[in-house]
Amino acid sequence: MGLESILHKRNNMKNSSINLVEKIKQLEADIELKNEKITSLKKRIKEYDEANFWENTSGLTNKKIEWIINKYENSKTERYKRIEFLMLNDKDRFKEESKKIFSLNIKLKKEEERIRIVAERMHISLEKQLTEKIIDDYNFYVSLSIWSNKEDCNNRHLVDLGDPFYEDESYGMFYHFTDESFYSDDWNEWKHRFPEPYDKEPMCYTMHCLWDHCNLNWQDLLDIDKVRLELKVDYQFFVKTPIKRKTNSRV
Amino acid sequence: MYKRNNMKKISKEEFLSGDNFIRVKSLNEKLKKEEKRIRAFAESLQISLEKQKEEKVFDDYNFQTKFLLFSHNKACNKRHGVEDGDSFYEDTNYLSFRIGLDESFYKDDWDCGMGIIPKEEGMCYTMHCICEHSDLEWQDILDIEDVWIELKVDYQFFVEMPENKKNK
Repeated sequence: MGLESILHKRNNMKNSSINLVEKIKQLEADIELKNEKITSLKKRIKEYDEANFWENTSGLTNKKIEWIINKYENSKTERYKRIEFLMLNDKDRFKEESKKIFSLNIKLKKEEERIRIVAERMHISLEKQLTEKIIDDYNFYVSLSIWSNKEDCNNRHLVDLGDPFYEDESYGMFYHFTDESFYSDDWNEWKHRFPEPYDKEPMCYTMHCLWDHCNLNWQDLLDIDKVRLELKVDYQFFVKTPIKRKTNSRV
Repeated sequence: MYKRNNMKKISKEEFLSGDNFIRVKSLNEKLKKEEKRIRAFAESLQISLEKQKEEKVFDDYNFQTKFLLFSHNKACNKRHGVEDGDSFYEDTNYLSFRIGLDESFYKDDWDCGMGIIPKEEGMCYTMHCICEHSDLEWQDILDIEDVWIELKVDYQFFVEMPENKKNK
């Protein structure tokens, strides 16, 4: 082997060694960036969890805590992923979609104020009718239903066009015992996740229900075309049979 | 259902004899009285509902009527597979008390040739629904202890997203 060939090989090895060092440096930088992202994500998840565990978990069994976490996990994970993705890759779209969600929020807030007046007047009237024996008793309950005209959304929820794709029968507003905080508090527990100016926007209770109580994903919220709120009243009248039977009927 | 099919049925003659007949007549009388009471309330309620809808107090409403039958009789509840306190029969197709309903619903004799209530007394529409529209046996009717008549109103409020309509 000649001297020239040895020198050539040495140079090649030196170059590839430099390349390897550079590659290692690049990989280390990538790892650091990814670690930072993971730390930041972990921090945000922790913040969210702390904000959402309004219940005193010390009084709950592990099974109950696990159940609560599982209940929210699916929709929460999807929304986390979606928000993180939009924030990192398409801020304009994120802003546009947040605008849609908050425009629904404003409409719902306005409707809550309108319904509250009707509901409060209704409770007074129902109690008066009961006292005056115009009716014998009554039931009062509230329901929340949402519709979409989008085929994709209806298909996701296995409903036909014209049918609600979600109904919340446990929606707890407009009862005579409903606390003032339901109407006046800011129910936005996700503030830090929205882009400006929506990070300062208060959320009404109905929007909070759609956001946090129903396992709807980000796209479902964007697909909402119509919301129906119903105050349901059963006016009841009782008739008792005048003569009590002496014997049991035959089986 | 098996138990109902195998229960020892009473005949129409037994149903309309002695205390049973008095009981059936009394129930009819009570229901007739209650119909008058509810009619007054239901009509003013529906006028008020229409007015409030026009004034846009709410966006729309549903008005439905139904009646439920209850018994504390163990055998009756067992036959229908319900517990004490639950209704053993529900009629959700009960059409009474709607505004514009023909006067005959409140005034006519709805016995319709069944021969249960004497002509001079006349059977009320609710009693007719119990005897004629249901699949109840004579014994079930004798076991009725409470009748609940409900006027069910849904006050509806809508929020629409106009910007989404473009994407239909």
